[in-house]
Amino acid sequence: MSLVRREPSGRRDADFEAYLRARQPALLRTAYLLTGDRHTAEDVLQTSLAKLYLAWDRVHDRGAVDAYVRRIMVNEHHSLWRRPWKRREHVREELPDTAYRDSYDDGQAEALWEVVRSLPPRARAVVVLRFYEQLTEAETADVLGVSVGTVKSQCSRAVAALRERVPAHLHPASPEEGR
Amino acid sequence: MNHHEPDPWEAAMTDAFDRRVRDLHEAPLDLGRVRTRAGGIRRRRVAAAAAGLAAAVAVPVALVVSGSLGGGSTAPEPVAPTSTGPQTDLAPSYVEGTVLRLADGSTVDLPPGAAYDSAVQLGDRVVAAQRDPSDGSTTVVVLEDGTARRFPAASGMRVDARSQVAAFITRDGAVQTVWADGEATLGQGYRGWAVSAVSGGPDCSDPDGDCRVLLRDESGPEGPRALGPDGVVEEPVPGAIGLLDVQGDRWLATTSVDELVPQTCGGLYDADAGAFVFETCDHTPQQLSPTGAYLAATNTYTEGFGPSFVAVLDPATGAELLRVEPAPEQLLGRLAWVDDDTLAFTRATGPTWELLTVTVGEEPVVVAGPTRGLAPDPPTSSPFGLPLGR
Repeated sequence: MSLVRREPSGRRDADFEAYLRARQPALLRTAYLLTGDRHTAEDVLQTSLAKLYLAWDRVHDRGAVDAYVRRIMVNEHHSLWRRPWKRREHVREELPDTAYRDSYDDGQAEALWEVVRSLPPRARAVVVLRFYEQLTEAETADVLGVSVGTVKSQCSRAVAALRERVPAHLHPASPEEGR
Repeated sequence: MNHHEPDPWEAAMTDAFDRRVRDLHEAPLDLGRVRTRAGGIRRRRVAAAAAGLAAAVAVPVALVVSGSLGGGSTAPEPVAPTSTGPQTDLAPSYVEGTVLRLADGSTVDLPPGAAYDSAVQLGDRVVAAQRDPSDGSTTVVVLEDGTARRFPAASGMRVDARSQVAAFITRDGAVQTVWADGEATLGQGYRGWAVSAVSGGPDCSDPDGDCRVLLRDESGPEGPRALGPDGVVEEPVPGAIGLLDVQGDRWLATTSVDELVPQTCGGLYDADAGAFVFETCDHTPQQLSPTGAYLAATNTYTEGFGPSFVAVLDPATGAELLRVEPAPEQLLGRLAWVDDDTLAFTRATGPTWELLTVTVGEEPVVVAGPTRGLAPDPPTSSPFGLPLGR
């Protein structure tokens, strides 16, 4: 057994910090859309980044780090949601914050957001990854660990919920109507 | 025409999401906050990985702090005539209140004050760890020639399987070892770390010796570490998330924790061969017997109330040779080897505790107790302090 001093972890931390600086705002936006409120988003992001930090040496493909963090965030939010005390803490009637309300919105974006927020976490994750992150169906399925068929059906159900629950005057125009 | 027309609802969702977060450009987390959270995750994983022994150690700490000692000036109250049992070669050495009861039946009175957590005789010295119930702090006391030297410690003390060397971390982060006729500091800067085990020696200053102190990072994200007289042993078990014991080139390690099942996996690793002798997810290995003939183990996960069974394994195969399971109303606490094939452990029934031994191939024998626990409700604070790591 050889006895040697361990290398300092300074370079590892510098690498991680550079990633943190570059990607944190984007990851926070995704976390916010997944969770629906700022407090939970920060909490989920902090835990996800901490797990990434612990696994940093094992993430050899730096280009895949975002996908790795997205997967952790989705799982973290899902497990958070399954804890009864957490659900009680965060279920609210009113909007959790209004910092990002769009003054130019005619009400449609707000109405859609409310419906999306009411979706179960897995279904919300599907639509956030598909329509905000612009992942393909296959990429979304990979992040969530589900089949492509499940992604398609979740998207269909989400759109059906929007059609049903968004007031008619706020429905988006079809391509034909827009022409 | 077969090309995909974008669904207006999908486009509207994209627009709604973009609008919702387009002004969110903040980065509230710095490396320090991430590392702090990582440390918490790491601690939970290590605690789960260390399973029985760590849980059994951790619970009394918490309960003594909030327990009923009232400043620690009173000894545990016997609730029935205490049977100390026959003092035989198989009797364990243990501390009870402020008295160290040695295997030969003799006793050593320790400096008065709070009950001691563990104590061991090393030649003409006695080394004892005393926990202050008012703030949970630990002081290691070295008694020698009628004098007592006190070391403020960061965590509990561990003793090797042969009861020849004790190790602890001082409050300023020094990894300290003490044996019969010497003491050595193996490392500095280990604030926030704890000793998982100590092995070999006893002379921990001998660069040709096999003294090893196994450490775990309790406040940060670092992996386990082993210190020897010449420095850090670099990754003795590749990928290990916990180091539990070592004898020669055989290392007990935890390799994975599944927090959902929950379950831990680990095994005995032969560093010479560069391969595991065996791996298991059915047991968490805890400690090799003094000559390495047997291996003490517990179940693979405990949730803070101690192991649900104690087992003895064949270290050559991982096969279970003996298992002691408490009745549903009972709890198990610490364990320690008495000799090479006899294991001591503590067991609670209601508010009272007993100290038992079990030899491979035989039935358990009560050697002390029942005695009321240090914290009556729940009864998870054993009055019998086995020398940890022994």
